Amino acid sequence: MNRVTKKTMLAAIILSSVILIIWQITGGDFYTKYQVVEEIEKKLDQSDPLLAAGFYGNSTITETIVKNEFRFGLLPTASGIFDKHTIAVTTILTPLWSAVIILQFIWRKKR
Amino acid sequence: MKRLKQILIMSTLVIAGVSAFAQNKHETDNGYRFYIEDPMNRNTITFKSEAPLEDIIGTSNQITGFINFNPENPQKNGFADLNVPVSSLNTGIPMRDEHLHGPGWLDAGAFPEINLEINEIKKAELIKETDNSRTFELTAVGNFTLHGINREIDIPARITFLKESDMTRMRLPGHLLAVRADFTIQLADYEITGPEGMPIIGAKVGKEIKISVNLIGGTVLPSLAQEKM
Repeated sequence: MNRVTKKTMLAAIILSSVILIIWQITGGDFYTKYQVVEEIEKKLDQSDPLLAAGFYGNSTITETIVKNEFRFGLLPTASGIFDKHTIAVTTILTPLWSAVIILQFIWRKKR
Repeated sequence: MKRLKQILIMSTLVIAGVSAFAQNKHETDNGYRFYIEDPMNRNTITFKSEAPLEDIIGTSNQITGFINFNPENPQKNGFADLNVPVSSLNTGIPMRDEHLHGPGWLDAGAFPEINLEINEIKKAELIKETDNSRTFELTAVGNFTLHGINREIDIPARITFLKESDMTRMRLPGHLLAVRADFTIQLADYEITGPEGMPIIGAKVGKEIKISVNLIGGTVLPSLAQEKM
């Protein structure tokens, strides 16, 4: 491997690591999302008359919320090419490593 | 003078009658009618699918309808009619929602609404009572309509009746009825099979869907209360 090849590989590995870290930091989701629907534990307000009435019982109460939050996913969920949901781990790493492999092949052939 | 007195008495009786009618217009013969209409869209229906490849949670805050409920005798003439537009179901991913609403799944075009009609209350147990509230655990019996298919269903629920107060008015006008209910349905019972030739149900979508309903209704329509203001 020559210097250029090594630097290219190193850059690809660093970029891949950054992508994977971002994926984990944003939740490690399967699909890319810009809006999240999730169940969270409901914080009970002591002044809520339903609490005094026994509506919540003794069990943990959850509520479903919808929030605008970016979650970088492994796979895209795009409706079209220019949809922001195209951005995903696979749609970035696949072309990146394809380019690296092609460049390696081309440089080897040149030698 | 005598005629004037007669007119005054008649007018007083008419005004008293109209006031009484206006105050009780949300009462049915057997309890109250609670309107499920929240201007702040806090009522929710949530569905959960668990499958080996994926867990999906979706929700809608566009439930509308009404519940007739008698807090003095809950098993008497309980009735509910609730609707949710299929197109309001949201899983957080637009492409997935598109598929969900589409002809391969719930088909919002052909069957735009999901409907729950309750026509009987069974096994109502009073679990807590205060000066201003009564909380019951009960089983509601009725029909659930999804994808154009109507099936009988039994739904366990916890219901709290709250008398109108300064605290309740912060949420909705009138007396309030809070409902929490959880039940499951089988997609096959509603002829929901997913796109032909793609074995998605069982792999990415669960065969059984868990549904949770959380809502609060009031005896005064919020839209009418707003008009009066």
